[in-house]
Amino acid sequence: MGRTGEKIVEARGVSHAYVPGRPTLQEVSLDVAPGELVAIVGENGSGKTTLVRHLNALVPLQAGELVVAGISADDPTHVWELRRACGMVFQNPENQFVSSVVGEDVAFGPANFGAGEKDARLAAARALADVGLAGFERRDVHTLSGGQQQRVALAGALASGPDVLVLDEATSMIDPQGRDELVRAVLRARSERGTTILWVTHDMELAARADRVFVMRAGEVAASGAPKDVLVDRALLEGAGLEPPFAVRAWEGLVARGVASGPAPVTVEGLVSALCG
Amino acid sequence: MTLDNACLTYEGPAGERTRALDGVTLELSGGVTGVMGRTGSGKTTLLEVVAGATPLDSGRVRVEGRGATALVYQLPERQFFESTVEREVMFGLLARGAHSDDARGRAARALALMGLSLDELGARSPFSLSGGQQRRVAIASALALHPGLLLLDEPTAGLDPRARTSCLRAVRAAADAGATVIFASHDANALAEVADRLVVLEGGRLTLDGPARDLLADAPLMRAHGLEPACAARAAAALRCAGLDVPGAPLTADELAAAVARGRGCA
Repeated sequence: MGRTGEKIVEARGVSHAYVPGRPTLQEVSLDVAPGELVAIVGENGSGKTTLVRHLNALVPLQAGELVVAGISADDPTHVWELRRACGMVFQNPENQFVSSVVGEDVAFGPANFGAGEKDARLAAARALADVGLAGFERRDVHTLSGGQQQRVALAGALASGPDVLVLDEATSMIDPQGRDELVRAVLRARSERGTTILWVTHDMELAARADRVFVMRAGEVAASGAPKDVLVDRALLEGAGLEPPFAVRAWEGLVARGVASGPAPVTVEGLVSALCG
Repeated sequence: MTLDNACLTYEGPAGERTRALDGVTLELSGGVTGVMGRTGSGKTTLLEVVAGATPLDSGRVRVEGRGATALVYQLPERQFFESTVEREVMFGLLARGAHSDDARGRAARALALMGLSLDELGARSPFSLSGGQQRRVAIASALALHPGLLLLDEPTAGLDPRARTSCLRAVRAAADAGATVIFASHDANALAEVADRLVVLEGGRLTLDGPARDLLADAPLMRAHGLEPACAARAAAALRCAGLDVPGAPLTADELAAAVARGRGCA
């Protein structure tokens, strides 16, 4: 099953309702290119999690078309292939561990997908090295920090060699240092493995670092585009229950005071550069 | 609330011993006290000890006043046990002898403070809600008690901006109504908005204690204690490093803009 042109994720008119007559997703269409880092933002209940859970068949497709890495989600027999093509990292790493021993947990995915014991172990070792946890194979996951646990969960997702990696609020329960470690590990997976990243987040500073941002509102994609275009649109963001990143808000204050003009930077680094560069 | 030389050691599954609280002495009376520290620094243990949920090895904890003590855990789904949101939020009130009509009214008001509607969500299972809704229901359950001591563990984690604003306003309102609030968080931006005082834990020891504004605005000090400064403090420090005059101690985007304008003589 090859990739479809330059799209690794193609959704056309995807709709979903957990309760009949109360849609959680309405006619969502989006494309993601291989290797892209995409942020999905939106208020609680806007459909972000429901959307991304379609990608590895945790939520079955009810309506519309969805193709992930060339695999159509409308055929229930494709669940296995979708799970292999798309790895998930959730908010709470403890909820996705299958073993208390790091090496066993990370090797579970490849072994489950048919790798022999040795190959599964090698895949686990490589994934752990990629997330900066080489040599952690024999450690008990419960003795690790929150950030380390989340990187073990990331290694578990990467060990099966997914084309697409979905992170659903994966940084919201770990401390800032753990978050930075996780972000670095994800960016390395993207650059070294070419993994496509879909990152569901409320962290607008993180969204500002994506290639593209999708804004969800009431089950629909309200807007998409580069962070410099989407994250500066206060009306759009407020309509979706969001607020611009810090740098944009500071820039608005500077413009109002007559000490800045021009397009707003979306990151603190961009703000410093715009004021001092 | 008084903690006097509080000490507590946990024993791990392999017999390893972790000093969760190491001689913590703290006296609080009203206001919002932020507690920061890296994962494993003792923040959650401090809340559990103050709530009486975990006994100390040595030292003393003392809570005075007649109001209830309410603790909201970081994972709200682990503290739910009722079949509907209405029953969940009313449980503490009914257990304390409130009349059901009064309890329902207080539950509705507490949910409204958190931006939720009892009419819309009251019949739903709390376990069926989104993560952000669950967290808000858990906080509403605590607020409905009108607690004298409100203990919150990462209450803004996973909340969208609107829900976060509701949460911070509700916390401020509870403190203004006389509650003593302890707000454990990694979120320096949230604490910059709501905390009066800040304490920092490192390895179970209390290593910083002072006015929240002074500490949170000091980016080098925060980093020296392994903490992430508020965005405005981080930006101010970076701008100063780049040679810009940024007077004062800005803690919000607008304060930073005002400081930069002042530095350029445009105030």
